[in-house]
Amino acid sequence: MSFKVGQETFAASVTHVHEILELTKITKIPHAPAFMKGVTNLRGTVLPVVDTRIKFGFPTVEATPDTCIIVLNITVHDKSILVGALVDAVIEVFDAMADDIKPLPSIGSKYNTEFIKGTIKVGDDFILFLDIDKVFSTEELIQVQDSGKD
Amino acid sequence: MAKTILIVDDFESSRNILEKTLANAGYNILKGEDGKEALKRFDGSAIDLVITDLNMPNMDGLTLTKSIREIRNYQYVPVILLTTSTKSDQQELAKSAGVTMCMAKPYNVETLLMTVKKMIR
Amino acid sequence: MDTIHDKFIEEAKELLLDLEKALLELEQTPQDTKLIEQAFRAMHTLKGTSSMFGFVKVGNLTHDLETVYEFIRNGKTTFTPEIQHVTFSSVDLIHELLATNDELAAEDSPERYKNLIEEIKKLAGTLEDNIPAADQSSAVKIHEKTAQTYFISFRPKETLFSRGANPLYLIDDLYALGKCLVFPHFENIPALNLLEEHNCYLYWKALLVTTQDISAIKEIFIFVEDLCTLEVHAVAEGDLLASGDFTKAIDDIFKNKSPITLGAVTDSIRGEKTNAKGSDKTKKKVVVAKDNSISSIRVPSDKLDGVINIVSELITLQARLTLIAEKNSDPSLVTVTEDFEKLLRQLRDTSLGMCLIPVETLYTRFQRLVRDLSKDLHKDIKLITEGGDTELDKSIIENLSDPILHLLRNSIDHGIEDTATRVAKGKSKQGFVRLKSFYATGSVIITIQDDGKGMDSAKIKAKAVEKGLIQPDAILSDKEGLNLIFLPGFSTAEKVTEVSGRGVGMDVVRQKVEELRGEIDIESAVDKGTTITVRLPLSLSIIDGLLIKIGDTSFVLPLALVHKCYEINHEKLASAYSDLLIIEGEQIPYVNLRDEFALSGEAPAIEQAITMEYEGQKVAFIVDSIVGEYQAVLKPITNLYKGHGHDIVFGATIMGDGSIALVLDTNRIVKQHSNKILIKHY
Repeated sequence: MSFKVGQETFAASVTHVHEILELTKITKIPHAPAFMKGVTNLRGTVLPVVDTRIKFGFPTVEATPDTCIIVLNITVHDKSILVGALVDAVIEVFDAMADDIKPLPSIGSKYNTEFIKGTIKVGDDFILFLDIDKVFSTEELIQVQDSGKD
Repeated sequence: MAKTILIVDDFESSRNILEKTLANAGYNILKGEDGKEALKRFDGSAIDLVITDLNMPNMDGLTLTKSIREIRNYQYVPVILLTTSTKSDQQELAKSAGVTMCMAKPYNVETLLMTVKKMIR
Repeated sequence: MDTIHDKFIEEAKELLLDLEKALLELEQTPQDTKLIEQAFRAMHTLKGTSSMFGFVKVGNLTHDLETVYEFIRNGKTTFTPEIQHVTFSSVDLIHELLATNDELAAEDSPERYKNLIEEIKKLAGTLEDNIPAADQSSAVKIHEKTAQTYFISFRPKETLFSRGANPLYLIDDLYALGKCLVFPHFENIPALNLLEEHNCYLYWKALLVTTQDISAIKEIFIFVEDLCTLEVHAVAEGDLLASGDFTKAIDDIFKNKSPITLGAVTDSIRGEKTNAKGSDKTKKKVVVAKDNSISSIRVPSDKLDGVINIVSELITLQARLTLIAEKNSDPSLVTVTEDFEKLLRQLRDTSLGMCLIPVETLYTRFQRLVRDLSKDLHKDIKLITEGGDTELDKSIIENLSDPILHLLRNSIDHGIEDTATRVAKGKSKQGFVRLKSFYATGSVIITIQDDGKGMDSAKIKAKAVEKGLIQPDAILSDKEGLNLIFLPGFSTAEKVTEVSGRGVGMDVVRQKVEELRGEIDIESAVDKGTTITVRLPLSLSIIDGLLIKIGDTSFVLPLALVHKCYEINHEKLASAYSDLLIIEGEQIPYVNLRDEFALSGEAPAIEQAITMEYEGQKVAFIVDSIVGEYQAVLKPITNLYKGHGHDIVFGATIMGDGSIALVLDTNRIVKQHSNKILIKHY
C-alpha cells in the first residue's frame, strides 16, 4: 500500500495494515513526545496515534479531507500491538512480488537505510518501501534524510 | 443406550482422568466434587454405576455409599470405592457401608474398564 | 490431554501448599489431629494420582510417606522433627519433579531422591503388604489346559442386593467362560405377603465346561463372596455337557424338582446342605454429614476475566445510555437509566470482588522462606504476619509474589543481624520481620518491617556517588538518600551472598510495583530497622472517578482520593505569590493542570479547585469545570514509548459519546510537580 506523507510517497506491506480510519477526535496525552499525536477511540480500544509527518522530520501541515489514520499492526518486543499513523493521504493498494523490492544503493543515498527495506517501482517512480515494525517501534525521529548530508 | 457413570472425587485431576478413560469407552459421565454434590445427581436421572473416592471433604465415600443405599430407586446402584488402602479392615468397613467393590488407587486402566464392564450391562 | 495434565500440575502445587502450611503449623502443635488429617489427605491424593499422570517418582515418594502419616493418624507414632524434615525435603523434590516432568534434572537430584526414598522407607517400617483387590480381578490367564467340567453352587444371601450387586450379571460371566448349563431355583421365594422386595431369594446351580481354571470361576464372585455361599468343584475332565446322557440326567433331576447337588451330579446322592439363610441384614445407619465449611466453587480464572470484560463493556454502554436519556428528557427513561446505573455499579463491585484473593495465600510461601533462610544463615528470625484476610485482585497478587519475596530476603539477609551482634547491641536475640497488609482510601498497603540494622542514608549516598549515580555535591534529604537504592546498578551488600545475590534488584522491585500502578517507599533508622511500604490500587480495571474538563479535554481523577471541590477566582490564582492556596483556613499547595499539561486555551473566570489526598497531605488541582462522578473502565494505553508522560496516566476511558478521557494518577503528578519545583529552586 502506498501513502503520502508531506511531499513524499512511501509504501508498506499490506499485511501490517489493520484498517484505515478517517481523521477522528484525537485526545492529546500530556508530556508526550511531539510525534505522539495522542489517542483515539477505535471501537472501544484506545489507539495511540503517531503523527508521521513529525516522525519523519517534515513540517506539519493542516489537515485535509484526505488526511487519515492508517491503523497498523506492528510487532514490538515480541508483542503485537496496534498503532495509528496519521498520514496525508492513502494512494493505492497494489500487488508486488518480493523481488520487486530492490535494495537501496548504499552510496549516494539520501536516506537512512535502517528503516527502509528497499525501493519499489510503481509506474514511473521509485518509492521507498518502509520497514513498518522498525519505523514505529522506535522512540527516535526517523531521519528520512541522511543526517550527514549537507 | 449409553450407560451413565457418576464419578465422585474432590481432586479435579482424578475426575478428569477417570472421565476421559470412561468417556472414551463410551459411557456417559456425571461428576461430583464431593459426596454432597454427588447426592444431588440422584434426582431421577439414570445412574448405572458410581465410582467414588474414599477421602473427601464434607462427605466421604463411605457415607456417600450409605446415603445412596437409602435413596429410593437407587438402592441397588453398584458402587466402586477407590482407595489407596486395601487392608482388610478397610474392606470390611466398605462392605458394611454397602460398597460393591473396592479398587486400589492408583488403578490400572484395563482393570478399571473390565470391572466397570462387569458391573454395568 | 495437555490441559488435563496442566490442571494436574496446578492442583498438585495447591496440595503441596496445603501440605506445607500444615507442616509449619504442626511444628508448633504436633498433636493437632486436624492438621495431621490435612497432611495425610494431601499425601493420599498425590499418591493416588501422580503416577497416572506420568509422575512415577512423585508417586514413589508419596507412597510410603502416606503410610507414615497414616501411622501418625492411628497413633502408632507421632509427628517428629525428623518426619517434618523428610516431608519438607520431599515437598521440595516434588516441586522440582512437577516442573521437570518427573525428571531428576538437577545434578544432586538423583542422589537426593534415592536418599529420601530410603529414609522414608525406614520411617515407614516394613514394606506395605499391599495386595490391591484390583489385582485379583486382572485379566484372566488362558491356560493351555484341556477343558474341565465344574459344578457351581451359587447361593446368595438375602442381602445380596444391598451392595448393588446383580447376580444375573454374575451368571452371565459364567456363560462367558465356556459352555454352561444353569439351573435357577425359586423355591425360596416366600408367599407374596411375606415377600421382602429387597431380598434375594433365588439361588443357582450351574455346570460349566471351561479351559479356565478354578480361580477364574471364583473370581467372578469375588465381590460378593461374603454375601453368598459359593461352591465350585471340578467334577470331571473334559466336557461332560457334551454327553447327551449326562445332560438329560441332570435335566431330569431338575424337572423333578430334586436338588441338583454335587453328589447328584457325580451320580451319588448326597443330602442337600440346607443353607442357613443368613439373616444378618446389615443395618443401614443414616449418617448425616455435617457441613461445616463455607461452600465455594472453583472457577477457571479466564472465565472470571471474561465476566469482568463484559461488565466493563456494560459500564461503557451505560454511559452512552445515560447521555441519550439526558438528551431525550423522557422522565421514565431517565429513571430507568438511573436504576440501571445503580444495579450496574453493584454488579461491578460484586464481579471485581470475585477476582479478589486474600493475601494469606502469599503468606504461607513466605513463612517457609523465612524459616529456611534464617536456618541457613544461623539467624533467629520470626515472621509475623498481619492482615492476611486483606484481599487483592488475583493478578496483582501473582505479580507481587516475587518482589515481596525479594524484599523479605533483603531484610533477612542484609537487615537483621546475627544473634551475637544483636545481643551486643542490646537487642533481643530473635529478630522479627513483620509483613502487614491493610486497606487505606482506595488502596491496599503492604508493609515489610524489620528490626534489623537499618540503612544509613549517608552511607548510601556515598555509595551512590562512588558508583557515579549522583553528583558528589548533591544535597539530598534522608528520605531521598534512602530512595537511591532503587536506582539501577546500586548495591550496598559488602559481599555477595548466595541468598539474595548482590542485593541487586531493588530497581526491579520498584519497576514491578509500578507496573501494577503501585508505589514503593522506604523508611529506615540505623540500628532500629527498616520499613518498606508498598501501596497498590484495589483493582486494575475499573475505578470510581470524578470527571473534569480543561478546555474541551476531559480527564478523570480517582474519586477515592478526592476531598472537596471549591470554586476559585482565576484572577486570584494568576496573581498568587506562592504555590499555596488558602482554603478554609488551611494552606494547601496546588497544581494547575492546565499549565502542567501545557494545554491551549484560556482558563475561565471561575475555576475549580479540587483537593485531593497525597501521602497524608492535601493537594489541590485546578481545573476548568467538574462534570460529575463517573465510573471509569480503564483501558490501557499501549506503552509504546517509555516514560514520556505515560506514567502520570493510569489509562484512558471511553466516554458515552465515544471520546476519550485520560485517567490521571494524581500522586504521580504531584511528585513530578514537586520535583520540578525542587529543581526550580536550585
